Order: sequence, then structure tokens, then C-alpha cells
Amino acid sequence: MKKILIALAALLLLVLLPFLSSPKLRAFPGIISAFYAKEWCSCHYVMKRDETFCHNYARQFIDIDQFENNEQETTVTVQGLGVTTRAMYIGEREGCLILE
Amino acid sequence: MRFFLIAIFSLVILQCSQPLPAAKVQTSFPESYTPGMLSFPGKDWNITTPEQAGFSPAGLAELKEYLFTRTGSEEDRTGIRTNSILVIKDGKILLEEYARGFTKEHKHITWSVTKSYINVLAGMLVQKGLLSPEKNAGEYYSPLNQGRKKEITVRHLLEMSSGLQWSEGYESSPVFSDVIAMLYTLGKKDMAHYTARRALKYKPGTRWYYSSGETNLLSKVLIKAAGGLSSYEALFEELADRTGMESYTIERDGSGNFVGSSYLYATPRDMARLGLLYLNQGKWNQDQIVSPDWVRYSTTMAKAYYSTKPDANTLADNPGAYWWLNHGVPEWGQAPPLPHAPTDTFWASGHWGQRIIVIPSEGLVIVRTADDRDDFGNEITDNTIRLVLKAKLSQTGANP
Repeated sequence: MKKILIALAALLLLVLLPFLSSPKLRAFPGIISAFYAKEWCSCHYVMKRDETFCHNYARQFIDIDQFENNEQETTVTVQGLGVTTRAMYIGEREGCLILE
Repeated sequence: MRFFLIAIFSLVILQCSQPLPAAKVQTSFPESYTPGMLSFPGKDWNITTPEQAGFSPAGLAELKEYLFTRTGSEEDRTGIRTNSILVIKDGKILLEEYARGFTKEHKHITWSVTKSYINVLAGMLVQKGLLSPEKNAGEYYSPLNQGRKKEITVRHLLEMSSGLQWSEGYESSPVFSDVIAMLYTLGKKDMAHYTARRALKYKPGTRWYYSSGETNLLSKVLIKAAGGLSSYEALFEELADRTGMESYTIERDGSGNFVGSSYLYATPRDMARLGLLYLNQGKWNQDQIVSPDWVRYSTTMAKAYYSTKPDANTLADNPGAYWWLNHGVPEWGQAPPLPHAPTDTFWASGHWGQRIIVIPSEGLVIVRTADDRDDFGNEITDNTIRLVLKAKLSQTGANP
């Protein structure tokens, strides 16, 4: 029975290996904070909507853990799924950019 | 049993290998098309009343009721969530309404409507003799100048038929979506480069597939054709100046390239200017910004669409060159995507309900901005057009 379980686990690992080694899958946790930071930044600084509206606009199916909007530096910093992303409003024509 | 399996297998093979019935390539602008009397806005727009334009106020009220009546909850972000509707008849504002805190001063995200602006920039470069659609894209952007990717032409990028492997898909499949990875993680520093590195899955020009990456690749090509990034930025300023578009933002990736797939922000009134330009075959008042041939090309079905086996995803799309068309493929029994719209209708289309709709035979441009989180497909666009046309009075003054 033990041998069967080990064999099944090995088989499962073999099946999952391509997915686990996929760059897109490894990058996935970063999507939550990057999406929130960039879209909140554009919502607020480009579309000129208020903070409440933009939180409702940028929220996703996974909640974020931390949020900070710095109006002086026009930066938005968001943490989600253990990844922190900062977006910055550059200007009228360029809008927002994900910094890191 | 064995015979049964062989029969099924043979049928599948036969089905896969059967060529699609030959179909006539459809175009939205007939050779003889002559625009009607159009009014072109300066800084301000001319306004018309329903009575002057031959529309029923009650009919337009029905349209507003349809678009602005919430059918879902704000908490769940469900149902129709219209932010603005703008109906332009012969260049004059017939109907303009805003909701959810938006006004005519607010720029709105256009998402993939941005692609149609990249089409205009390409057309302007063609008009200036700086871009040739038939040239290999690799001549303008070196990562495409290797191996079989050399066969990818500028036209293939315009018609989303490069053959580069791509997975378009948004919130529904964020893990494996190339567009999400391009915009927010792996590709954010250089979206064209991210796309160019995808494997070549199909022979260029043989398969149509909706790919936001290809627009950003094309945008990189346009930088080179324009003579550098600052010249490319100046080209957009030129488009804005020549059409009177005052307030816009086009966001960049980490390399400075326009995110041509997704990130133009503009007011609905300024979005309508693009519709009016294409309604008038590329001429803004007396200023020919792109040629009538370019508009005709852009509103002609992408060649590769006819050699692409249709599936549920492609059936709802009739692609031109970053414009969407309403022809269907009669030879395949495929109906036009918008059953209530004339077949000359074409439109720019963006995520969550953004649209610039042009109906040449009616002299109409319709802009809708929205935040539709439910997937309505073509339903709201079709109903909007249906209700606008329903509101049109016949010459006797009655609804047709």
C-alpha cells in the first residue's frame, strides 16, 4: 500500500512539474498586488475618482493585505499574497506605471 | 467495439482535416460609399435635438432606461453598469448621459479600444510613407528577425495572425493568461519583447487569434517606423491636435512603449472623435488623416479568419484590423455578431463594455463606457443599436 502511495505521489509530482516550473505560475502571486496598485493608481490619478470608488474598482477575488496611497509622491503601494508592488503616477500623458 | 473506435477516430480526423468552405472576404465600406453631411466639432460639439435629428424622445428614453437601470447589486458588481452613453448623429450630439459619478470631463479607461487608436497611428505612418504593411515586422523590430518569425509581416500583426503562441484571457484564468502576465508581471518591463519571445505555433498569416500581445508588438514596430519613441509620441499628439482631442492619457510599459493593447484613457466625447474620423473615411473635416483605403482595409475581415476553424470564442468576433465588423460568414452559416445592426456597422471594443460604434449608413457614432463585470458578449452592444434605431422616426414621424 505504501509503495502505491509513493508511486501515486511521484506520478502527481510528474504531472504537476511542468506547471510548477511555469514562469507564469510562479509569477501568479504578484498579479494581485500589481493589478490593484496599477488599476487603483490609474483610477484615482488618471480618471480622477475618489478613494472609495477606486477600491471598489480595483478589488479582486483575492483580498489584498496592505494598501498605501502617497498623494505627495503620487505612489500607490499594495501588498497581496506576500508580494508588494508599487505603482506611480508619472503625469497627464503617461498615466501610471508599475515600478516594482 | 474496435470497429466503433476506429470509426469515431476516423470521423474526428476527417472533421479536423476538412477544409472550411470558401468564403467571400467581406468589407464594411463599399467602394461607392459617400458620407453624408457631417458636422465636425471644434473644442465644443454641436448639439441636435431628437426632433431635429428625426428621433423620438420616448425612444431615446427607452434606451437610457435600458442602459442605466441597474439589474444587479453594486456590492457584487453585477448587471449592466453603464458609465456613459453618447449618441452622435451626423456629427452632432443627439444624446449624452453619464452615471456612477462620471461626467463629460472624466477620462475613462478604454481597455482594448486602445487597439483601434494603434490602427490609426499605423494608418498615419502608411499615409506618410514611413510604414509598409507588407514588410516583415522583423525589419522594424529585430527580435522578430530570426528563424521562421521572419515571415511575420506588419499586416499579420494588424490582423492578429502572427502565429505566435498566446493565451488571451483575463480574470477568468489569471494563472495561465499571457495578457495578465504581460500587463502585470513577466512582461511589464517590455510587453513587445514578452510577446516576441512566444513560440511560433502556426505559419504566419494562417490562423487568427485574439492577441493583445500582437498590438504591443505592432506598437514597437511603429516606434521604429516613426523614427524613435519621441517621434512616435509626437505622432499621437499630432492625431490629437488634428482631431481636437484635448484630454488623453496613454500609459507606457517599462520600456516607454505605449500599452497599445489596453491603456488609453479618454473622455467619451474624445472617443467619439475617432468614430467620426472613420465614419468620414479618415478625413477630419477637410484634413485627410488616414486614407479612405486605410479605413476600407481596416474594416475588411482579417484574411486569416477565413482559414481559422471557428470555435465559440471566434464566432462572436468578426475581426478587421483592430476594428470589429458585422458580416458573419454566410458560407459557413455564421450570422452577423450583432443581429439588430446593419452589416456596415463596425466598432472598437474594450473590456468591461467600452465601445465606439460606427454605423455609416445611419450617420451614427455611439460611444458607451461601462464597468460591466459580467460577460455580456455582444448583447448590450446589439441592444443599444437596436434601441437607437428603434427611436429613429420614419419620414412620416412614426417609429419604423
